[in-house]
Amino acid sequence: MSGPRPLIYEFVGEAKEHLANVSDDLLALEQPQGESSRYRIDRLFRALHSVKGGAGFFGCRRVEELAHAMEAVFERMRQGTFAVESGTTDALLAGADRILTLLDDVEHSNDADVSAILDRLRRLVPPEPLPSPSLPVPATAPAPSSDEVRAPRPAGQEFVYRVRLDLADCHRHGQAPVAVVRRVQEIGTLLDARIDVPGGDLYAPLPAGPVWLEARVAVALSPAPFHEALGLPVAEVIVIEAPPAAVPAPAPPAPTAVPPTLANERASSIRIPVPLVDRLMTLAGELVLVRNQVVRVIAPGDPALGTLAQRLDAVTSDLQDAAMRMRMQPVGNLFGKFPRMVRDLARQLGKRIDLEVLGTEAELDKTILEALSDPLTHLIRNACDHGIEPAEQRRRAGKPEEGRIVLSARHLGGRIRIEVRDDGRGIDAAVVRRKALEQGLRPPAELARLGDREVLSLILMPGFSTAQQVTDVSGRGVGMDVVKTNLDQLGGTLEIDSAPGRGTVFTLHLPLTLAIIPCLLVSGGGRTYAISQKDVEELVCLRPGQAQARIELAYDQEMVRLRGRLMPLVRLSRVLYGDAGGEHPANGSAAPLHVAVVKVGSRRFGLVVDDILDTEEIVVKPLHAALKALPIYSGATVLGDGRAALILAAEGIARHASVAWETAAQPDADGPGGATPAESHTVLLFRYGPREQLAVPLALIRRIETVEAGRIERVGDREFVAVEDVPTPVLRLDDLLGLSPCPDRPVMLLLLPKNLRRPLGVLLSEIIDTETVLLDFSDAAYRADGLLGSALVRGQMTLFLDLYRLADLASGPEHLSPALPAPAGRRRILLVEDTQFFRRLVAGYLESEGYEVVIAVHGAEGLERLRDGPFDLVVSDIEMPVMDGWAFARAVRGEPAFARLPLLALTTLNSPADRDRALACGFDGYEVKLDRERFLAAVAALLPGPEVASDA
Amino acid sequence: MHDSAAGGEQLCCTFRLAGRLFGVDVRAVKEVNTRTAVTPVPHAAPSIVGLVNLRGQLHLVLDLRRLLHLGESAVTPDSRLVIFKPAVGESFGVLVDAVGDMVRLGAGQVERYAADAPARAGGLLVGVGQTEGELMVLVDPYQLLDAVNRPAAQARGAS
Repeated sequence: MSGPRPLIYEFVGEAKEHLANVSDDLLALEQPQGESSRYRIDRLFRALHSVKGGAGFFGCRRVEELAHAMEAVFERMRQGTFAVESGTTDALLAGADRILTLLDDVEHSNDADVSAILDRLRRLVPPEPLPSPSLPVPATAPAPSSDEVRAPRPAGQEFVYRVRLDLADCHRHGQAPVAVVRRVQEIGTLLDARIDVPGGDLYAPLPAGPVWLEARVAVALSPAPFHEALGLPVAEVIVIEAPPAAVPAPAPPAPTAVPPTLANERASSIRIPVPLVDRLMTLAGELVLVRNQVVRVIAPGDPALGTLAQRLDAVTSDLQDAAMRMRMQPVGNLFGKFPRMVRDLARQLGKRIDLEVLGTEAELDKTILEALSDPLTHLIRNACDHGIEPAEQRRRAGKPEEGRIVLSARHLGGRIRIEVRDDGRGIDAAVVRRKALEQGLRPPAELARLGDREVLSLILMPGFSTAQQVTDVSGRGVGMDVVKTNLDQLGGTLEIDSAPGRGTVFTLHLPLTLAIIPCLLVSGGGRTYAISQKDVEELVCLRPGQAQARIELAYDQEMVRLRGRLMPLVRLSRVLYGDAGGEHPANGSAAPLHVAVVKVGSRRFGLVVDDILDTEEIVVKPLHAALKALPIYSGATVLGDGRAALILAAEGIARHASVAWETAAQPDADGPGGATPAESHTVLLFRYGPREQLAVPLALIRRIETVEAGRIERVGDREFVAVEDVPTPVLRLDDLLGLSPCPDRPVMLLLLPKNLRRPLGVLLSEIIDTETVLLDFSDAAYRADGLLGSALVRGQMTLFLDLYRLADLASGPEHLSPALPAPAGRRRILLVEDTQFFRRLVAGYLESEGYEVVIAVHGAEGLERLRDGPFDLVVSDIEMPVMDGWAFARAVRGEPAFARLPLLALTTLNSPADRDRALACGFDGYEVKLDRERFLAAVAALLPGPEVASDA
Repeated sequence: MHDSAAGGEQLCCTFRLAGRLFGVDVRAVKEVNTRTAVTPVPHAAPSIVGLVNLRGQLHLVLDLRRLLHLGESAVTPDSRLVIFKPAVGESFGVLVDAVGDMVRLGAGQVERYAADAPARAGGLLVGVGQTEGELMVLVDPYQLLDAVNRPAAQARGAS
């Protein structure tokens, strides 16, 4: 094989790019579209032509032959003497595929046998029409190959000349090489051409010395007129006997025919080795550090330097951004292969399926794009195979016979969202539920509580997918767990939505790049370490004295109970430095334990760290080879202060610590409180400072106002702004929660919460989006005062604000515990509430008033708890699974011991009829959720006097 | 092993470890750096000091004293990082107690160890150079990375 090695791979890469569009264009040609088809045929011709040229140059004979045969077909299409039909497309597609396979092993491609496919392609083209001087001139000069020489030619009609000319000399006379070739072709037929170019670099400029083009030309003209017609400084014209007696040894075709075309098409893009791009990223990162140091050194008083620093700042950020962008590729590069796949699948399956591809210009990091190929292929294959019904069935269901799959991509909040939507039979949640039950994937009680969407996500579980009968019934599931695993590795998520009979939507959310990942910075043994946020499920702070914070020992494994589930604990400092320490330092010492709940596949463990420092977007660098054997690290990075830091690998740590997993993926439903399924709420995502992503449930928001910064007035140490002519205190989250400060903006947003007695506005800088999230806070979640908890939303740690607590904090100490005197002795209140979010909220209200709160998740459990111990008051929701509030109240009243126990209904049902019914069932009071202050007043009113606690 | 200018002159970058004078062929050295804020890597081989960031690129830092069984390095104001060129091995360097002058050694001034000499410290040492008043032991930087993950017993057995 000729040609230096690296160059041939350049060719392979390029040829693949050319061929990537071929199947698209071919498929498009099958549709009658008129205008654009001409353009497509041109493009097809050019693509194959380029492949042929390159293949010839590198001596890839088989590739060249195939490309030539295909090119010939397109050539005829261009002339309009050839009708495209399905058989043609198949043969051409097969040809393109064959070339791709050859390219995959380009070194041995010449040994491959391509005769069958070559025959098939050649049969498509009827024998060439007689060559004549009026032969249409192609827009680009085709590089003829030996095949053309073999083509039958009428003898005796034409002279065949050997022409030798110096291209460099022509160039000096104003004739570009391509023009020379074209000129020859206008006069006669170029049979064969070779060119001597020193070196193999097609992109280098032509050398200064003579560049000899040797061509054999068939022409009806005699030597003198031919010489004249050429009008070129020809060095030599020799008449060869016509017809050519023997086939000459295949000479490399004129490569000059290729570069001008290539150069024109590629003027706007160049190829850059990935390591170079990475280096640029690194340097940009380093520049950021330098910038930080410069900004620190510059005295704040110097305006000139300040401006300079600002510009340095802006340029640096832009540079980093641009370096990032260099790694990006449009998803179209990946999506391009699917129309072909769907077409083939549809044929195989005997279905009619139309694939629509949208948003191909959205860009993604190349590595992610590559890793996304398998999962997406799987999803689309599934949609064709199981989603879309056969035409007959569709007709009966009153749908168009042609099934439709829409593949779309778009950027959304710094991530990409890819959707695979089909209008097929859909997935029946009831069937999935039944199957999950049969296979024991989830305990029945839990299944009963899951919403349809959560149930659908069960098909992503490994156990589910292998079940054979499921595919027949539900229509989905083979290998879906693999899809899920692939996406997990990329830090992506997959959601399934389906309406039986109407179709299914798979929604993928992915980060745009893996080169920069959001990380949590923690400290262990005095050093800073990073953990990828995709590995972190939540942050929990175990405070000594809290019941949930008790660390139990299962043989030698420390365990902690989180939401009723036992979770193993791993101490980072022990993993890293082998620190011995007390077995239960948390139970003895007063310091709270910072725990990052880390997931490894479907399991999780709590990583105890010295401190949780920050979140930061970091640039991942591979580990040095000498450190590769250490599984507890996944990479390294450079921190903001210029120091190196290691990135911890969740799985490696679990293995290193030989974590004893308590149970497999299944939560134990028997634990106290039961396993709580996460439930979904729609929340508003927003920012205050640049760093933290914050959230508040939409249900708690009255509305959002824009305020001009100038309208915020300062009175003492408080700030006010007039909203509807009411002076409203403005709450700044950086003061209260220690968040990053908000950049100064001329216009800010003010969030006005619902159901507050005193007016209050929370200042925010930017609204990100609304998002339906599964809220799954722990009762022991990482909890600064004023936060409900934290959870991962769109791959970012998100803080959920407790608006009511914030209101208390904002109004200062004099307003705390307004309604109640400090309770004499601790009052015990039983809270029966199935929704975790409200449970957390309401328990928070009560605890902040000094009550002791015991929790039950439905009426039946409430009754059990009641029998366990004395309570002063019961607060119960109405709508709950297993036993609802009505039944619960009747049951409570049915037992003499509880006859006088105060019962307060707390519900979202707000009709007079509901109110009457509640009282009839035995409730003493009825309050609507979310009105915190009324609720607390009602609690205080219902509680009996301090002297007697009603005995149960 | 990469030979250092066979027969001809050789320029050496000298440094001290535990009071003794050592040298490496200067052509293997990329830079000498004062940046000693090295991040340790728990569980790495004992002869690995850690990682250091030099202009955005992370380098592995080796404890040359440990590799040569001269005790453990401690970072002092005189400590330096000798960073080697990429040709020597994937971005790495060694921590030394102090750097000295460049020394030019003539062909006759270097005495090479025999291949089985016990003084070679597992192949890390090439020979002895005669400078004015002091002997300088020549280190082969190409062997250092390999020596890191070699069991310590093996290396010790040779010394």
